[in-house]
Amino acid sequence: MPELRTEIGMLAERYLQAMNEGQASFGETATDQQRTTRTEGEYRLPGLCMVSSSAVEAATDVIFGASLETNALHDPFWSEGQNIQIIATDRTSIDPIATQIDKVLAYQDLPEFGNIIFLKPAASKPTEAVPEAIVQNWQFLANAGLSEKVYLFLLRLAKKEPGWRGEGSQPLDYRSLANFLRFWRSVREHAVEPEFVLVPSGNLQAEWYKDDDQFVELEFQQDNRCLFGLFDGESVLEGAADVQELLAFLSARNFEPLKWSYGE
Amino acid sequence: MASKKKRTKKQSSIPAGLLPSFKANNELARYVDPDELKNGGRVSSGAFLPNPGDTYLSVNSTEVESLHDIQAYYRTTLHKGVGPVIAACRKISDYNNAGNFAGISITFSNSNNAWEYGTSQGPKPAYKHRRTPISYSHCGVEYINDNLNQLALKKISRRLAGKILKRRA
Repeated sequence: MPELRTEIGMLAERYLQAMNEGQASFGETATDQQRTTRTEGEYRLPGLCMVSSSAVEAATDVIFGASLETNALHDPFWSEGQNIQIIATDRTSIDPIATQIDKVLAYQDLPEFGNIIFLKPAASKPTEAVPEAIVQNWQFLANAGLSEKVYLFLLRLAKKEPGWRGEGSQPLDYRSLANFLRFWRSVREHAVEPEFVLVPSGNLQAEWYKDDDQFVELEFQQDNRCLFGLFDGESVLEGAADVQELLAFLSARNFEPLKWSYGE
Repeated sequence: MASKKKRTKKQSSIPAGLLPSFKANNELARYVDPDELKNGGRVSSGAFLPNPGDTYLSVNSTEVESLHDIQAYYRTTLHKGVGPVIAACRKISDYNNAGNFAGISITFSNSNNAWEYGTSQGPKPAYKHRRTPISYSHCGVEYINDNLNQLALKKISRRLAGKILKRRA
């Protein structure tokens, strides 16, 4: 049995960290539970394989079966032709696999994990299960450090189709999601995860809500701007700003509003 | 001739003379997508934004039709006929206050016995009964529309959101 376990979506980064800390290893049984939940349909994501460098050769038959539109689907939880993302602990171990799957779109050095290779789901092989906004932001999402719960909610929003809220309502725009992810990368160390809502224009809105008097709303537009509303119980600030301006403003407040959450 | 009689008979099944008065305490129900209901039963401001191209905010008058019937309409048109439906009910006065806060002048016209809002072309009705063949209570909040600038729309929607006044059926 090869030292290989499939994983889904954004769990990969957390998983790798856990491995580095000796808290998890490839082959642990937790993935069996995730496999089970995937069969319910919600988890029909582009796949993510995590491959330890020492296991690559033994595991390649499984990877090929998982990632290519082959008839050899050794893992029944992969769909035929499903797009795939691969992470390995070093580049040389993954290159032979990558060349048979799709071109490698990005190599990224993440010091805490060593060299990690991200494969964007192949645009030439779109699947119904992968919304455009997710595909376009795949690498940002992989690095965002968002919880599984949040990731799955974003996926849910991204799956909404035109007209989801009546005639004229738009699906999630990938540029708005990208705008949020850039913002999130700058604040995530200071913030709790917000709640999200898709607004009818297709923009993503993040909300940090403590109560009706204290909350922040940020609607990420498609051009690096943001519509903001900050209610802190004493004053109200509303307007539009570039994300960088907003970051400076929030930084001056020690990012406190981004720590608000319901029931805290 | 026969079809004319039939049409007359169908119209007579609609509650006679029941029109929304849009008094300050009357409530308007707004459909809430399940993903717009947040922790603690809070309704997100996103629920009160018009769709691109909308010339008014689509709501239903609970004065004209029961909330149960309104939710049945939402279920049919927006939920494919199944599942629980959430509606956020807000008073006309709440809508007025939100609009006024955003800089829209909404006043009651004694001469027209109606709420009006100021436009460059003069005052216009702030609320309209816009019944449809399948929704007798359908109305429009006329000053909330896609032509309004984004900041004003956000100001209005934030002041209609949050309060836990949802109703689920």
